[in-house]
Amino acid sequence: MKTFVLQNKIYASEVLRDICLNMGTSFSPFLSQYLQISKPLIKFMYSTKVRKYCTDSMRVSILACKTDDEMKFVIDFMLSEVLSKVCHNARTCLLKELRSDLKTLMRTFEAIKSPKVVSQELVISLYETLKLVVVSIDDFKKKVKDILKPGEEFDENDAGDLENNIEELNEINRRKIFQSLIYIKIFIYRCNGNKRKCF
Amino acid sequence: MTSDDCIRVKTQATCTLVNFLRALFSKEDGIETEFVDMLKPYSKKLLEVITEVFEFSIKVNYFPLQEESLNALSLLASILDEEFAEFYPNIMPGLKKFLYNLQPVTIQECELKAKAIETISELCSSVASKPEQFLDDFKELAEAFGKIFSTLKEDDVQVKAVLDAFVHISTGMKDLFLPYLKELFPLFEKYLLADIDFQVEDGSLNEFRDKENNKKNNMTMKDVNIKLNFLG
Repeated sequence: MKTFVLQNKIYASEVLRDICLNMGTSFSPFLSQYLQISKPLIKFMYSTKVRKYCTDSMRVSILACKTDDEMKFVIDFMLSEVLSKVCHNARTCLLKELRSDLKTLMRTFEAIKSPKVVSQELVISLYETLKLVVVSIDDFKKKVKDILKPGEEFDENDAGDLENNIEELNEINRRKIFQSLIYIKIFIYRCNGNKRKCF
Repeated sequence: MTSDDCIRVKTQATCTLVNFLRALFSKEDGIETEFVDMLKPYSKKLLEVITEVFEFSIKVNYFPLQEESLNALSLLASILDEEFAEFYPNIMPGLKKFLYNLQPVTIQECELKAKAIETISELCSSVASKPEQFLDDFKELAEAFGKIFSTLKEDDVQVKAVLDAFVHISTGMKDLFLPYLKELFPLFEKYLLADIDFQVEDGSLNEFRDKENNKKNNMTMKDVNIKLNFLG
């Protein structure tokens, strides 16, 4: 493996994200190119950092958008891929990454000012993903509880692991609740026939 | 004291200052305002001394002292942040001259140039909140770094320093960075899409083939080695 190529990939993905943030809406001419490059790297299997920065490209791109149409393009292009990654991380219990993904989703939706930006299909996908996160986290909680079963040996390392797991789970739950609230807002908006703003 | 001793003592003293500053202003803990206030009365004198040391290090062409004085400048710029703006005009011209004159051949020289780029970009970042009077400098540096970036090999130590420098400069330039981004985007794209050439190789395959040829079929010893082609 060419480790320096991997290292440069990490630097470049971070730098491009930061430049997008620094330039704000002036970055918008490059949005399409930027997303074309970062989308396939959302599931890049050799680096957590590349995955993180490329997932975050959705959020920073939203901040660089000048119009709702541009935002819609970003969401249509990226959200399904990000949700697919969230599902994968929930199924495989990659808690740290799941936590980070949910934060990206939270902050992305915070930046979206108009509900028109998210299509019906994506609203359904978002709901399905959140449902899966709830189920996966419940399963993981059961596993964590099993560590405390009587008769099992429980040492300092187990205590540390347990504490970390509980901390991760609490944070994921907080973000999951926030995301669910956003989902409920979108749902209410759609039930009201798109008559009023909900964000 | 001989001149060699003098250089070594200066280097040690600068190194001590760098360690002191690093310990006080660890980025992980965040920079405490009280420490910045504590440093302020000494900042002018410190920067004068460090600039003098840096010029001396260039004159005697002593790499460790150049490196340590650049570290000290970089740290002071990030600690003083906005307060650094008043010292910027005295320090930046010397640093730019040093950067442009340095034509690295050895790895050590490449590392030094990377350090100089890091220091310059740190200085740019410290004045980024009031960029108006420094915009000409930012434009000049964006162009210079762009040229350096386009000539670098992928495994050059300067790659990270130049990439970070673009972030620092874009913080101050904002929309004015657009023309430079047009030039740089294909390079970013190249780095992002580059193939890391990950290969998994069966380490015992050849041995197995030999055994197969000798009618000794033994699969139990089969293992998989990851081939790591470090630095190409």
